[in-house]
Amino acid sequence: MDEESKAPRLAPGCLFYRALSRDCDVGHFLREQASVPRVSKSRQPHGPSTPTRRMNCREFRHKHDAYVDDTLSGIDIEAMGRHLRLCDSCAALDTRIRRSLLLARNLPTIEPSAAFAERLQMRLAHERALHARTSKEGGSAFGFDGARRHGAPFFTGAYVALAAGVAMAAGLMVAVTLTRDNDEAIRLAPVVASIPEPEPSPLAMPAMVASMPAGLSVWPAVFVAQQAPWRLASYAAGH
Amino acid sequence: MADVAMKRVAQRGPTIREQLKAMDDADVVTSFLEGEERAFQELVERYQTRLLNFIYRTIGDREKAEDLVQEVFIRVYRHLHRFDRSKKFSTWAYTIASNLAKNELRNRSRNPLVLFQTMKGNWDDEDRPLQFEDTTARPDDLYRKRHLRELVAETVAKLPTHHREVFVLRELEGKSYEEIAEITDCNLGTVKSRLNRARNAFAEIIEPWVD
Repeated sequence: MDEESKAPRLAPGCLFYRALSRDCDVGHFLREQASVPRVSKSRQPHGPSTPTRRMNCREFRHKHDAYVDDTLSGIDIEAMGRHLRLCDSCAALDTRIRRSLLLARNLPTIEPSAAFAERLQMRLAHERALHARTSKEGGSAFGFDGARRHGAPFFTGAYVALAAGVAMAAGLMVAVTLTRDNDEAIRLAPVVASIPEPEPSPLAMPAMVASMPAGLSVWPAVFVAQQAPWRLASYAAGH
Repeated sequence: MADVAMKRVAQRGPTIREQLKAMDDADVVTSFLEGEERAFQELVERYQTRLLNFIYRTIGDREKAEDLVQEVFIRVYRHLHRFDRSKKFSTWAYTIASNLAKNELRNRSRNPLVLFQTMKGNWDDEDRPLQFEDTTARPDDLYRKRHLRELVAETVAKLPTHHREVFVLRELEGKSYEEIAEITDCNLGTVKSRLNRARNAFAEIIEPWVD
């Protein structure tokens, strides 16, 4: 028998089922239910009925930003207002947010300093002079004057720049094609990490071994001398 | 004859200014692109304070904010011919300002000395904007009001950069969600989520001081 079947089964219409299915505390839900007069369908007055919506805390918080910004529909605003009257925690949240926003919106604005306008005019004059000079030379660095005054998207300078770009690209392609033939010659052999073959030790030269009168005691010393660098390396790696 | 011409010029100057003042942003931009240099001054007058406050609240350094506002106007002047006139000029100007402010914050985070100097500068009373006080109020009220303002400004500065940007655009600049999405280059859902978090964080930080 699984866990779900052990749990008490509640009918979907049951009050507690509805309270648990919403993200809302049961006490609050019950208060909310108790405050709304129950009108049976048969006793509902004739004529246009006003739609009433129930709302839980999760939905309230989800829509709270839009509520503060006053962008909700009329029905939602009414439902939010009703929820506020019934739920203390959501009412506290609403008050907290609104009060803090009121403070933020009333922060004093700062004005530019007296030197601001003067500095800006100097910079703008410099920009104007720059544009005037570049337009006299037959083009503008930003395409500003040509485009602005005559409404043309391109001008001579742009075509020159385009031609230079194409020429540069063609040159690059030729250079790449020419160097491709020598590509094999300059390619280096891959480096493979491996233990190098031990070089023959000068101590183990045949002539030297032959010259030793007591060869037997010399061999262990030769082996130790050959393997000394590896032992040192492995000792260092181990520590 | 010259007097008449001077009078005409003198009459025409203010008239054009008045006409520019009555125009909306799109018409002022069009007027500038058609060669009316005074139209740019009109744009500067309309946006300098708003952009200054936006950048100042985002980066927290008044002098640097002024420099960046100047940079915004220079970029607008250079690139106005490329501006897509089917969109709002204010959104474009704020986008440039937002990008410059973000660059400034990024550069500061790479240079801790600059960050320290800025923070130190912000604590200095002399760097604060001069505000005229209401002399009819009681001194303890004035103190409380000033303290609260400083507190609110510090709390805004404490918000994480992304949240602060959205918060300032919405609460201090009154931008719509769509405009904020365009300015910050985010989708609408991200803007809503950031604003929600920023509002909650702001309320949480400021709450103990308000009660």
